[in-house]
Amino acid sequence: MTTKEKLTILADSAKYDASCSSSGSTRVNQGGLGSASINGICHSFSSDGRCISLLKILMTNCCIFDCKYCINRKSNQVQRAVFTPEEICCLTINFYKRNYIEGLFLSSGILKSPDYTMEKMIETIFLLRTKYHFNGYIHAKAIPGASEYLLKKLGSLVDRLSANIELPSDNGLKLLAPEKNSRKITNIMAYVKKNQSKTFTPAGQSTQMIIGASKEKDLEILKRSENLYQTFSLKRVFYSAYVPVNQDSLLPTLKTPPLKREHRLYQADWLLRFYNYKAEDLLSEQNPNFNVLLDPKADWAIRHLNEFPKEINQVSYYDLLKIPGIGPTSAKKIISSRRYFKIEFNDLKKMGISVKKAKYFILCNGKYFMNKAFFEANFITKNLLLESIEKIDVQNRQLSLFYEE
Amino acid sequence: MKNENIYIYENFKELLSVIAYLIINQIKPYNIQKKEKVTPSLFTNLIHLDTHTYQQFWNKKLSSKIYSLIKDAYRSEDEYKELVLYYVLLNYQKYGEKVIHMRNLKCVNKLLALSKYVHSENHKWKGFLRFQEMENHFYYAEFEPVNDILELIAPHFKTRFQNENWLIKDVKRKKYAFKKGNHLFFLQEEDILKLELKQSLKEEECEDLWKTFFHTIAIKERTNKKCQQNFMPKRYWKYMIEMEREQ
Repeated sequence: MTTKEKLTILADSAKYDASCSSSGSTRVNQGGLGSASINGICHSFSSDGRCISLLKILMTNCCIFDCKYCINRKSNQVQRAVFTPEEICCLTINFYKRNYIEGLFLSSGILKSPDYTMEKMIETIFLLRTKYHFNGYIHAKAIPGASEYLLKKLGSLVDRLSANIELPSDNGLKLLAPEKNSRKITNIMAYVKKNQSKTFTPAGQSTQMIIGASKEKDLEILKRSENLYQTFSLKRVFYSAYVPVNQDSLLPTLKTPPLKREHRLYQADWLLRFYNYKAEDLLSEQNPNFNVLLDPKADWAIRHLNEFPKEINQVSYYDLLKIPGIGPTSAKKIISSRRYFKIEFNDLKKMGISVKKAKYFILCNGKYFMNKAFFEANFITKNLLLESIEKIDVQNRQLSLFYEE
Repeated sequence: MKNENIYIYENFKELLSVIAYLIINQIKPYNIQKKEKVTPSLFTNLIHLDTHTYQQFWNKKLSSKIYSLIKDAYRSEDEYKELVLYYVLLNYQKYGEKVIHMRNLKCVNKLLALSKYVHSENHKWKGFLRFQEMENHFYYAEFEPVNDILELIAPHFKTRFQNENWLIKDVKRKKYAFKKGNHLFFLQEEDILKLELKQSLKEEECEDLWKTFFHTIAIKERTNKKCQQNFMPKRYWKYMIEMEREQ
């Protein structure tokens, strides 16, 4: 089999992994090839609008497991291929030198046993770091069930080492991936968290769960993420809308991947990490799924209208962040500016801050943008919905969260 | 009718001196322009100052923060960038360092916006620039940035590709960054006598592998070309080999 044929098979089987970020590492070039960039760099965007930063491949798509949702499950009749370590190194180096990529993302199906597979991955990455003196970014997927000494070895070679939680709940995992158990996955996360340092997975870890293949509600998913962030200090949880690749009585029949839902989860995930929200602020047992029409923050604000309108010349940073349409960048601009002048509505425009959504929720120097009598839930909801209908390019923004921060 | 005065400068240092002259003499300029960009007209006077005495004016006066903002904004191609710098520095004289937070001033917002634009373009090209492998392990790239960022981007590739020798050409400005061994040179068209570069034998195969990867990694069920184009506007495509088919 030629390298090109292998690449076609092994990139195709790796494409469902959402993570492509190359940020968080400050690996420097010590006389070899390459360096990491702390903010990450996107090198291209594929026709699905996702960022391409790393050469994302599997070492092999052969697998002894039979996870229901996975294209590479044992029982599927697909063409199988195995990359040799030398082939992976050559591809990485040749792509890197032409500035196609920021580094390598290496995952793998399970060949013979978890330990055997990890050893092969380590051999590859060791070769890349030593023989080829490669200092670019490497993200490796740990194989659940592999021995701890192998995790230690792999973690000291890569920038990010992570394990996918695969499904939002343990029940989902039991049903759809009976050979994986969530203990094995969280053990890896705990190990990486405990040992993380400048020389061991400096860019930390991330994980991914498939959305829509099992029955969890958004609340359960978001609580799981919250818990993962707290327990294992993950950098990111990625959500991957389930793309039906297999027929199975245990799997739902979907015509299209649930992209909208994935988008809402990413928005909510952002709110957890950068806006000080808790999962339970956003959803509840009575209201366990996100509003398809309104983004989670606007939805929250309308349910808490008694906390608004907020005077932007006075309220704290975290209160500013609660205003729909205001993010960290705008909040910082407001904080640094208001020490020197009283901010009026037209100042916001000058400052490059969009007031499209925000205007319903703020006061500028005591003034509301229109007659204060209109500050009322129904009116605001209607207007926000009108704007979201006018803006049918939601689809466009849907994937914007894959972009490097 | 009285003619309007346009003040002429040749480089960044001279621009700062011209602005110093204008501020000291309390002259509000009609425009300030770079020598090669000026188009004389019947209704304007071109004034080329002897700015020698003003060269020292900004020494120790500009904080490193404001200096780098100004320097970055200067890399932009904005038609009125010089006036923006003039008004910012005028206000800087009055208010000092805090001027960069005074976003109610139009010139301050413009300065910050220009500098941000320059930096974000620089960041994008760090990813979108494509090298080709030439004979003798030499690497060559062409690009067309909107802003004048060659000097900003070259050091990034110098640290990244320490053992490789390379040449990057800013096609529009006919400028080159040339990295050989530990040295980085910035050259003009006339410095390069003869550029005879031949692609290495491996190049075509490698480009083909990259295109294969690029097309394979996309999830067909999620196709969203508009989103792709939002992140990677068309003006970058010309030099990206994977976008060849799309143009």
